[in-house]
Amino acid sequence: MKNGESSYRRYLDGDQSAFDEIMGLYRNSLTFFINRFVHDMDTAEDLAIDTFMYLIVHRHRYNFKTSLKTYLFMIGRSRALDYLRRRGRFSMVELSEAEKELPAQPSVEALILLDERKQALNRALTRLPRDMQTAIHLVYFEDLSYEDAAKVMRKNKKQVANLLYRSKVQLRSILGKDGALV
Amino acid sequence: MRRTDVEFKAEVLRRAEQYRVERKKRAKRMLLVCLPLLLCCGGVLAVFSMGFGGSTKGVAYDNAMSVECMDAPAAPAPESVEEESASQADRPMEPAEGEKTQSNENQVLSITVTTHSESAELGRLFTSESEMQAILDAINAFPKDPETVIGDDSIGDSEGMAYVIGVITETGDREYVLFNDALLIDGTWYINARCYRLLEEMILQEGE
Repeated sequence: MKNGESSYRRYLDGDQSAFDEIMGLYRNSLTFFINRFVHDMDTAEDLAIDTFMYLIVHRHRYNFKTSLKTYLFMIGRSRALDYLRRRGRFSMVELSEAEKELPAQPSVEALILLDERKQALNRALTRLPRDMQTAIHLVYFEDLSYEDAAKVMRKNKKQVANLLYRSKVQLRSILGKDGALV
Repeated sequence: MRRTDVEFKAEVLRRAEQYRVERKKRAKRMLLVCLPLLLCCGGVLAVFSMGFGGSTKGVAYDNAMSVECMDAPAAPAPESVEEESASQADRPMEPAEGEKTQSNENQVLSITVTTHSESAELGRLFTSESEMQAILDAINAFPKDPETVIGDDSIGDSEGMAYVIGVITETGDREYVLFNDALLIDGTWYINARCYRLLEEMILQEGE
């Protein structure tokens, strides 16, 4: 069975094709996760490229104690937060220009949010604070454990559990109002 | 616009390569900036350490020299030498009022020169090389009997280490010199070589 860790191990041993496997496994989910922060798919993809580049240039920083997915998401989150800090919350692209561009391929959201319920949840999520969004995303969209989600968010397990509880309360109220959950 | 998988991978590899090149450049730049700084710091440290080393060596040399000089004129009894060093340690460093004092840097030894006589002017004692020679001769020919030491105005010293020595100059005047480091061993007066040197320097300066 293919998983990120074994592929990365093979890559470190010199198998270049293993890196393609890693990118195939995590490219979309990582981009989508980063987009949760930056709200711009091109930027998210750019930051995802940086994240994968980190795996190549800092080969021996990953200690195989966590899953590669968790590790990648940790780096991705840092990259996204750095980007937001640099950008200073100013939008770089005119919205009207961005809207003109038509996606050549199906969007990452479309690929991931095939489920109607997930789409409704995703819409509601955007109305939550960033930490809550991240916690929900990691646990319910990426199926990470509380522990792994805590590692990505640099919080402890209890904090993540509390965040999730409060997020669910808020989400229930939002979805209830929208009628999506009724 | 979304990249295809191939484009995505190519971009990852391109950036990784770019990062490596930039890292090398940065390392070179750091080396260029830091190396001269490190060399400067190293140079400064080396100069300092050489300075301190020299100073330490100097002390050792001076001490060795003074011991050597004390031993040179005759073979003094070991206990006398011990006495000398003990009394040197006990000796107060402050000169008495009206004295001209010249001390070496490390305060190991000092020489005090005074005219003793209140009416005489300080620094008038040695005015020429011939006077110096006269003083040295007088010291060498100093009477062996300690009682003939004129004055015995020891300034807070113990065991007769500082004596006012009467000196007859060429002109026949009687002058007084106080040697803190004068030492009487078996009836012979010894003066530390350092004292001689200081005296000499002082006399030459006065002569100029």
